[in-house]
Amino acid sequence: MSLILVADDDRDIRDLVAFKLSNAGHEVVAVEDGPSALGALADRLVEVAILDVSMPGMSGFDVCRSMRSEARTASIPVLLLTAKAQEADVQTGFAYGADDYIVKPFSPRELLSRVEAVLARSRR
Amino acid sequence: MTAAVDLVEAMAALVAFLLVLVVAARFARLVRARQRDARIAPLRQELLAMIASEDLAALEGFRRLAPARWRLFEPSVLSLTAKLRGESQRALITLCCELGTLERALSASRSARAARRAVAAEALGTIGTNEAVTRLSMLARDRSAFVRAAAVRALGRSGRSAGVGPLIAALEPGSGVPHRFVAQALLRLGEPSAPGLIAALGHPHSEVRERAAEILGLLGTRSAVPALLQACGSDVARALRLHALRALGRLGAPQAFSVLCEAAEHGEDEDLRRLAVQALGRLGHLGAVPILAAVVATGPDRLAAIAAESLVALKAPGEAALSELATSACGPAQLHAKAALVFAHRGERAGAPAGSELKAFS
Repeated sequence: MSLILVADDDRDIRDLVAFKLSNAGHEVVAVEDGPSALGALADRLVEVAILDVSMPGMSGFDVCRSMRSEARTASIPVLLLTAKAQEADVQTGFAYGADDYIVKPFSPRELLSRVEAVLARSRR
Repeated sequence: MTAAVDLVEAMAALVAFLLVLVVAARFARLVRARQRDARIAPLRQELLAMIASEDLAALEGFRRLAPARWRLFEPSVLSLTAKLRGESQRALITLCCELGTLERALSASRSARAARRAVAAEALGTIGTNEAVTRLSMLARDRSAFVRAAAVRALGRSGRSAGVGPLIAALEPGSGVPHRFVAQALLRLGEPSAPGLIAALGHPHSEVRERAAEILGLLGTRSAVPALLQACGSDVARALRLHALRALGRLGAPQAFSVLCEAAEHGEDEDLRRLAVQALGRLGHLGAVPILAAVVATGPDRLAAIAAESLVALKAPGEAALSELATSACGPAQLHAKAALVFAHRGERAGAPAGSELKAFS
């Protein structure tokens, strides 16, 4: 079981991701914006962070950059949730230090596989 | 005087009354929404659990819901369906169609109220059947701008190639839909929109041709390269050539190398040359090194600076050319070469990470 952070301002996405990951035996901390994500990261050490790119106030890119600049969170794998399937957006995510990305709309099964792949890589 | 004071007082009372009315209406709507959410919360939890466990056979239980209860739950199901892909999405669409959601959305799309038509358009986009897409194509020409925008978004979400034609028609001037929305919808449709966009490079309206070229670049469709190369020909209007060059740069297509070199060296204006110079940096073809070095040495100031950045992108051979310019050239060329080398060695490739150009459509 792993502790996973999910940050998305869309309640449907948050719930879909949280239900899927909980169903697979993971513990999920779900928040609705960037500052809350950073707050959750300060409180608990998660194993993976799933961040929506377009959140009001602070984007997933900003949260990712902030995580990479802190020694405590620098090595936490980040998966970006993006509604924009374009290559350029994905490149931006990787440039900010993301490990993988999931394009919305998403398949819950694929999401779980990606999270587990990232977890396996980080434990190696 | 007294009459004027009375009038002012009456007006103030009216404004206050209207304000109270608006606040009360909003409050009532909020209360109704909360009540609805509370009533459907157990159903929503049940549905989320089914999706998570992939126990789609359990959806059968929803088929037995009382029609009034299903209609209350329907917007929530549609909202979740729109966020999903794959088997769960297909199962939910089937459920919605069996429970009359498509018929209700088609009927609402003919409502006299624009807000109802717009909500219906969103539902039709989520359902995405042939019938839904046909109706959305009509809604993309609705009399209300609000409905047209909703229909265009929904066509993008439908995932159906049948939506490409109406979306390209919405790129025409006078369609009344901001082209940013149409571009987002075509990008969301993805690869199925490529053939229509390639054909649109020959559209009678110049605006459609230019937007098609731009979207093809963002879409990343390699099959568009020959058509985009053709759109870079000297007999083509300058605006289209600019968009086609930018698209080729984004695509990073090796076939574009000679066209880009030609534009970088002999482009008739600085904008064309700038796009070509940037694209050559992204392309990574080492044959571009002498051309870019010549632009740094002799090009106008801004263009020379961009050419220096492109040389940095070409790694060691580009940096070697910059070092040569930094020692042997003089004036601005030397400064640009030195500045680019400083950035290269600091690992600060100028500007924001690639992809910031997409913000034009975000």
